[in-house]
Order: sequence, then C-alpha cells, then structure tokens
Amino acid sequence: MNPDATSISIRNVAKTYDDGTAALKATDIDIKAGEIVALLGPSGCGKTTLLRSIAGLETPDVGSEILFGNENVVDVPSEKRHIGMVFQHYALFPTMNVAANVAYGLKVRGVAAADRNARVDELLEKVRLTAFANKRVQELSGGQRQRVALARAIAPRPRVLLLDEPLTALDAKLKESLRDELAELLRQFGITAIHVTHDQQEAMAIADRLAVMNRGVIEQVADARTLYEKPATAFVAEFLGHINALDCDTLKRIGVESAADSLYMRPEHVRVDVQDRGELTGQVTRIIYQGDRQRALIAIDGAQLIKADVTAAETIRVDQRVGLSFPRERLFALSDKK
Amino acid sequence: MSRGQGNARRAPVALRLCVAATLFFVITPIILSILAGFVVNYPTGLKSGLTTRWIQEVWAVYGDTLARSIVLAFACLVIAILIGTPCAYALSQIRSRWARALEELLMMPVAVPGLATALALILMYGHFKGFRSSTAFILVGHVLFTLPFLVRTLIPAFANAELRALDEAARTLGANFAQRFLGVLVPAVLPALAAGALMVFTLSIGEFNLTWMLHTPLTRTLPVGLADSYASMRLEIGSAYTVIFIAVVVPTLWALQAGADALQRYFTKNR
Repeated sequence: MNPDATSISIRNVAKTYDDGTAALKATDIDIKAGEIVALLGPSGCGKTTLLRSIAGLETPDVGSEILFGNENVVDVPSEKRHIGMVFQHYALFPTMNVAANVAYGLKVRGVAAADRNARVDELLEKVRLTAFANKRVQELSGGQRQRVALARAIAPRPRVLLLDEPLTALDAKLKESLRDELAELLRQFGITAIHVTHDQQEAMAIADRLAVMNRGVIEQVADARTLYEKPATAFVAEFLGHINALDCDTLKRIGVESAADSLYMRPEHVRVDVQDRGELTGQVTRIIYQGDRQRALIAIDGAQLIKADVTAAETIRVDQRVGLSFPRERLFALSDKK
Repeated sequence: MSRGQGNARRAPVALRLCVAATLFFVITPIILSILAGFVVNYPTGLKSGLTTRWIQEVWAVYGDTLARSIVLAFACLVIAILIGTPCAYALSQIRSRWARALEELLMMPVAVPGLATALALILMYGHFKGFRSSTAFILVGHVLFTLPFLVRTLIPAFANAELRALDEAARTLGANFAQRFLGVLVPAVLPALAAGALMVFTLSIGEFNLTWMLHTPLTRTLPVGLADSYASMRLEIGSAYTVIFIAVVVPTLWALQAGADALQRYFTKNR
C-alpha cells in the first residue's frame, strides 16, 4: 500500500445552507487507508457536498469532524489538506501545457525542477500520455484530459484522492474503457480514494465499497454484492436494480409468515414456469425484451403485479398463463418498510 | 483562389451600400483634415501647392505633447491594470448588495462630465502645488476615468464558473492565494485583460475633457495641444497636428490590438 495513503473518518459531518436547506445531514463513515469508496446516489443526495467538505471547498456545519488519520482537518484550508482532486469538467489550466499542468502541484510546493520533471515523466507514462507532454490541453480529447487531471492530482502524492463525477462528461464508450483504466490505476497507486458518482455500474467497477446516499443521508455502506443482495432500505434496493414487493396477501398464499407487511425479491430471482406450474399462477400482461433477457410483467390471479425475468430464448407471449415460484432464500426484508 | 472570394458568402447589396456610406461618412472628414495639414493655403485648396511646413511647425511647438501623451497612456495602463485587476476580482467574488453598489459607484467617472471630475480633483489636490502642476496630476485623472472600463471588462471574466473550478483545482493542489491569483486566475483572464487594456490606452491617449481642466501650460497632452492649436493658430496647423496624432496613435493602437488578438487566439484555440 502507498505510504502516503491515510485513513479517513467522517464524524457528524453536516451541511445546512443559509436558507435552512440541509444538503447533508449528520453523516458518519470510516474509510480505511488505501480503500476506494464510492459515494453513490441521485443528484441532490448530498454526495458532492460531502466530497467537497472533505476537500475543504465547502465548510460543513459546526461540530463536523473530518479526520485524516488522527488529524482533524475541518478547519484546515483546502490548500493545506494535501489532497488530490479530479473534477467533472477536468479543470485543467488552459494556459499551461500537459506537463506544466501535472507539475503544478509540485511547483507550488517548491519541489526542485529535477525531481518535479522526474515525477511528471513517471505519471505521464502511467496514464499513457508521454507523447503529449508538450501539447496544449485544448488539443486533447476528453478522455486524455481526464487522464491528465488524474496525473495532476496524484503527482504531489496526496493523502487522499477525491474524484467528483470524473467520467460523467465523457461519452458512453469512452466512459467504459476509462472506467476500467481508472480502477486499475487507483489500485496501482494504492491511494485512499473517494469517488462520487450517480452511475452504479461505474461505482461497482471502481470502488471497494459503496456508500449509497439519498436526501443527505448515507443509507447503506457495503460492497457491491451485499448492497445488491441484502439491501438495507427500499431506496438502496431500487437504486441498484429493480424489486418486487410481495404484499401480505401474496405471502400468505405462498405460505410465508413474516412480521413485516411485505417481503422483497428481485425480478431475476422469481422463477417463471411456462407450463403453468408453480406456487401461484398468473397471466403475462407485458413483455419487455432486453437483449440478454426478457422482463415479464405478470398479474397474479386476483392479486398484485409481479416483475420476473426469463431468458431471451424462452418462448413467452402476452396473455399466456404461467406459474411463479419464489425461492425462500431470495426473499429479503427492508428496515425502512415495516 | 484566396479565401473570401467565393460568391456564396457575399453580403447583400443593401448591406454593402450601407457599409460604404458609413465608411464615407466616417473617413471623409479625416481625409479632408489630413489634406488640410499639407496644403499651403486651405481656403485656396490644392492649387496653392503642398508643403510639410505646418507639420514642422507643429513638431517644433507641440512635439513634447506627443511624448507626454504616450508616456501618460502607458503609465495609466500600468496603474489601471495594477489597481483594476485585484479590484475586479474582489468585486466578482463578493455577490453582496454592497459590492454591486460599489461597482455602480466605480462607473461614476464615466457618467459624470469630465469637467466635474476634474473640478473635484482640483478641490482635493489643488493645494499640493508641486503635484497640481505635474503630469502625475493628469495621470490621476486618467486612471480615475479609465479604471471603470477595465474593471467592467474583467468582472465577468473573473466570475466565470470555469475559472472558479480552476481556482478550486489549484487550491486542492496546494497553491496559496498569491500563487493562484498570479499563476492561474490572471493568465486565464488575459484575453479580457488585453481587451480592457486596449480600451484604457485608447481612452487615455484621446482624453480631453478632464485633461483640459487639469493641465498647465507645461503639462499639455496631445488632445489639449490640438485644441490650443485649433483655437489659436491657422487651420492648417491644427490639421497638421491631426496628421501627427493619427500617424502616431493609429499604428500604436494597431500594434496593441494585434497583441490582444494574438492573446485571444492563443487562449481560445481548440477550446
């Protein structure tokens, strides 16, 4: 692991604007040194506010604590926090060439020219931009610019790397390739990284753990598999894919006893039998072809509508009668839905 | 075939006529004035013959005003940039009512007649005799008058959201305010600064209202000298003065404009 990497503890960090709007409610999260954590959520969920508070670009409410290792940096100005940050729209210095951009953080800290140049060369090689060292940043493509921005942020060996929607400005194809490259580079650097995004694929590809945020609150922090399979809240369950809520009537009919009013199951876990055999039967009301599979909307006789996935090869049509089964191990409860 | 000869991009006839008429309207008096500076006797016209006598006389009597005006314009430019740039940055960052009021106040010297501004300056500094009779006194007036133009040009450039992101990027990289201001922010607004500077220089070199009140016989500037010559000498002398004014100012402005354009191109290329 990178010796510069620091652990980060967020304690009671909140941000309330002058007009009383709470962009971020009292939040706690611990990030291990060298760990990559994604702050994931829809726009306005407070993820960027939290990131900018960690960066020192936003002043959180009184009582907030942001610990880098054991040091509370909440009153330390951004320029003294020794962080690296990558911005959505790159924010490269237009008056400097690629090498000068990467060197900037070293230069303002008074690193000698020889050491500076060596570090710049090393990083440009890492991001495969050695040939572009003397190019003006305006001559680069979006993906190249973001790689320069990454090299620039990493060059001064920051304690933590903060990424604010780093891939959002890129087109879909490029986004995917840069996403994988970014995931690889961050692991090579072994740096503590906090990555803000609204794209769950991106978060899953890059981060070790994901903190799903909604309305200024972290709803759940876990690895991608746990979030998907054992979501703690309805919001998390719905933000990462789709869910069926089985109401108490349906539960009774399949013989499941539950203290909760509803239990939940993902569409791909509902078993569909085209021979009309199963715990319950129903009628297909709609089929959505999705390339790798088909999603069927099935009305259970006299009861609710269920979303269920079948393979793309399966012959299934609207109005067909089908059987449905609900594997018990795939049923889960949600804490915020009683 | 060279660029611009294609018929496709030709302007409509009416527009071209309109441009031609405007050019004629603007340029003819200047041409007449230049001509008057070279004829022996203006009322007689070209028949009286051509001469450089008037030019030489102007040079002998008013030569010093030329140098003073150019030095004054450059000094005004430097001071306006040194004061105006930080001032514009501050105003662009503070979005309070007071900052807006201050910005309006800054525009006062443009709206208030130059004579009134000059009077105020004389009331304030008139009793510092050495200062009152020096070119520096005129310089103060020029800075006061031209500063708003520079500040007004720079405020939107500094308020740009992209620039804010650059400032934040520099902060996260460890740059203190001075490093960010001089190394990132000012270079990023250079095109606007160049445009504002050009305006300051142009306004200063042609400024008459204020200067006329502030000058002494020993601190005449080019426009004041021009007024003197028109008022007190032959028409040909005044016209010859115009010739010199144009011969000096136009190339200087062209050079400054070319510099500003080059900056603009450099910073906007491939954006």
